[in-house]
Formats: sequence, C-alpha cells, structure tokens
Amino acid sequence: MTPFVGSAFGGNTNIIVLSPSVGDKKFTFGGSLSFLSDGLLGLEAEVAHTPHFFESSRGGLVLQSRVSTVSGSLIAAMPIAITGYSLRPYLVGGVGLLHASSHGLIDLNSFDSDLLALNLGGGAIGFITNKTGVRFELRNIRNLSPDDSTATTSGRSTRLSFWRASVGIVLRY
Amino acid sequence: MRHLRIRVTALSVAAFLFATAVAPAANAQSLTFGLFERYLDALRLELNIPGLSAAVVQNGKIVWDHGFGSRDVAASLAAAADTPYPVANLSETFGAALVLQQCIDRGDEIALNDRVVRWTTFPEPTTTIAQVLAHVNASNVYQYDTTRFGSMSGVVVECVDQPYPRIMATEVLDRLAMTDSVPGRDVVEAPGSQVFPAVTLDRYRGVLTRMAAPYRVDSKGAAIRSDYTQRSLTGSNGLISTVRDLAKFDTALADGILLSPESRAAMWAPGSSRPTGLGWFVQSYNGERLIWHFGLAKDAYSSLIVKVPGRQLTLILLANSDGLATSFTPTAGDVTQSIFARLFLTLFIS
Repeated sequence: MTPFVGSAFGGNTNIIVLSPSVGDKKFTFGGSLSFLSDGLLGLEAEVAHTPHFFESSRGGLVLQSRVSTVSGSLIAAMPIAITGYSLRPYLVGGVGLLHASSHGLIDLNSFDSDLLALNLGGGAIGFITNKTGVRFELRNIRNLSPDDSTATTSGRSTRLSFWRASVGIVLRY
Repeated sequence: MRHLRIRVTALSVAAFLFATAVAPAANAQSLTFGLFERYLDALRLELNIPGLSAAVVQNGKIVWDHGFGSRDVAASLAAAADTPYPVANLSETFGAALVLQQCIDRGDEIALNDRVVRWTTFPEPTTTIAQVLAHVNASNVYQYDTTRFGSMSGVVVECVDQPYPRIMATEVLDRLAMTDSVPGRDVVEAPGSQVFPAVTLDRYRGVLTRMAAPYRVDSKGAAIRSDYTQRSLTGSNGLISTVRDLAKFDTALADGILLSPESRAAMWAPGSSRPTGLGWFVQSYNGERLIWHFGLAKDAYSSLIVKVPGRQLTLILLANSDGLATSFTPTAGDVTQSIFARLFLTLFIS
C-alpha cells in the first residue's frame, strides 16, 4: 500500500475552462494498492485526487474544480534478482476513470465529466526497512473517451491530459 | 418660505425614490455588463483571439460596447468598438436586405419566387431567389452555400442598374451614416475607384488603414499574421464594418427604415424544414425567437450577430481570427452551440 502526495503539472485541455491555470502545478494526493512479486510483473489499483485543478490565483472564472482518477494498471518492474536491495525501477500503465469538474460564476464554463483515461509512467521503489519504503513516480494521464456535452475551443472531441510527479511511502504486507 | 420648504421636501422624496428604484436597476445592469465583459475577455484569451470588438444594442441604442486585445499585435494597436473588420459572410444579411429593398419593395416585376436565371447568370435553372436567400437547393433541402448566395448581387444590379458596391453605399451605408464601413476593399483601387467620388474614397482608405489585421492560430495557440484574400463585395461577402456601424444596420432593420414590414417579416420568418429565413438564421430559445448570422473567413476573421427581437436586444461581435466560429458549427443552424452566444443568452435572457 502506497499513500502518496505530489504535484500535477503540464496540464493541457481543449475544454473551455476560462482559467489560465490548466498547466500550473497543483497539489495532488492519493493511494495505491499493489501486488508486486520479486519477479517482473505486478498489478496496481490506484486512486488520486487533485483539488483546484482548474483554478488560478492569476485570474480566471473558476470557483471550484477538481480532477480525480481511479485506475487499474500493470507494473513491469526490474526483478529483485537484478536490483538487489537498491532502488527498483518500474514502468506502469493502465486504464481507468477520470472525473473532471469545474464550476464558475455562471453555468457557461461549468462541467462534470467522467472520461475513460489512460495512464503511463514509471518510477522507482526503494525499501528502507523490511516493511517500509519510498516510491518516486512520474505518470502521464490522458483521456481516451470524449464528453460531447462540454464545449471545446476547437469544437472537436474533449482532450485533457496532465503529468503527475509523486512521492509515496510504501508499506509492505 | 413654506412653498420653498415643500419643494425641497418634494425634490428630496423624488431623489430618494430615484435612488431606491432606478439606481439599483442601473447597478444591476452595470454588474451584468461587468460580468459579460470579464467572461467575453476570458473566452477571447482561451480561444486565442488576438482582437475582439463587441456591442450590445437595446431598444435601438448601443448600451454597451468594448474592444478587447489587439487589432494589430505586432504594432501593439488595441482593438476598439470602432475598429473595422471584414465581416465575411455576415455580408449576406446586407445582400438579403438589398434584394428585398431594391427589387421586391420597389414593386418592380421581380418576385421572390422568380427563378434566379431570369435575372442573372446562375448554374441552377429552376432555383428561385427565395430559395437562394434561404440557403435551400432546388429540391427545397437546406444546404448552406455562400457562393450561391453571392449571386444575389447580380439580381440587385439588374434591379437598380448600378454597380453593387455603389448600391450598397448609397442605399445602406450612407443612408444609415455607417461612416466606418467600406463596400469591398477593392473600391479604392482602379478601375473600381471611378464608382465613388474622391472624398468618399479618401474616407474608405482611412477606414481600411484602421482595419484589424487577420491572424491564424496555430496548434500551440500562437496568433500568426495571415492574409485575407476577399477584395470585392458580393452578395455574400466582402463588406468591412465596425460593431458600431452594424448596430446602426441592426436598428434600421428593427425600426423598418430599410424594409417594408412584409419584407422584414419574410426575412425573419423561420422555414418549416430549415434553420433559415431569408439571409438570416432563425430559431427558438426558451420561448424567444433568435435571429442570427455568422461570418467566417478561415484563418483570418469571424463575426457573429444575435438578435432577440422579443427583448429588442442584439449582440454584435467582430474578431480578427476565426475563433468566433471554430467552437461550433454555425451552418448547422443552432447558435446556442456557440459559447459566445450562450454567454449572451445566459446573462441577458435566461
């Protein structure tokens, strides 16, 4: 189990949000449950939450917003036989649900969207004790399905993506 | 002394009543316009529109107008309410007005159900003037085609026997004192310049000097100077105007200055199986009739006019990129899909 905190950054969307902040760094937190053997493959279920995703201190017309993700992923990690007790690098990728919402002064730029999302990334796990370790990770999250009810700058399908850098405490059972 | 005291008291009561009854209404309106202005500029920035001019007309008067961003980014020239833009196919609304005014209302032999080929060169032998004005084909199926509509200038010329830019200038622009409007960029060039006196050409040149520069927006959102190739005025394109001048046109149509009541009613009457009247789009929104039109010159300019006749309210927008028309498909005939129109309708109608 890995509770983590981090930063969502490099956001990009064509949804008409009316905020200059989509690419800004935002605090994010979450947790994951992983099954990772000493060999190559593992599985992971993860929940993450980024409050104020579309809000900005530099103006904009968003009063309340968030982005949350729930995903299931496959982990491909360097086997312990190779890494020994040093940092264990891994790649992770999966699909899940991305919920994005934003509410402004008027309904014009308000939306609640549930989107199918893809996440791809990588990181490294290192154990300090037999039961406790640290995880560093970078992930890119992007939607796969559109939400036709949201207005976009191009009039085309919804596009939302962002990066997430996180550090977590790994608790091994 | 007693009379003076009574008058002072009466004036005080009147001032109090004004302050409590009228001032809050004025404050509410200025708050609405303040919010509208903030949202409009935020939309402009998000859609990377370099320059935008806007006006709201109510009861025949401009109650708010504003310029946002730049009419020329490199020269740091701000867009204003009197900045001229090519209005692109918003020119169709003027073309329709001239057909109705110069051909139908004058009581000549011409009728809306005449075949177009009777009056001008046209590739479809059975299509009528009304069908072209309504953007329907010979089978009465809606099919937006600005090139077909352009041929309406030939019909007007046949009715008046003068060059089309001159008819536009004398019968609409000059008549309504639309002094910041130009009937096609090429009127200042030879040989078209022979159509207008020197003083008029000087005025047109002055307007064209102030015209907003065109921009295309690349995939990263950067505005890049582009080119606009439409030089001549046709029945569907080529007019250069400002939001303030378009407000005069809007008011003249509403007040019946340009058209007979019958022609105006026909122009704004919705079709049973199409989203158009004659030269305008017509639709319903929350029980209100909306009359609107757009202009789109890809990678250069865009425009939008939305009228709510039931409230005597009109929004006019002109931009120097195609951003007003890229977030929706205007030819589909539903202006409520435009985020700009939705902003206006949300704040002023809903």
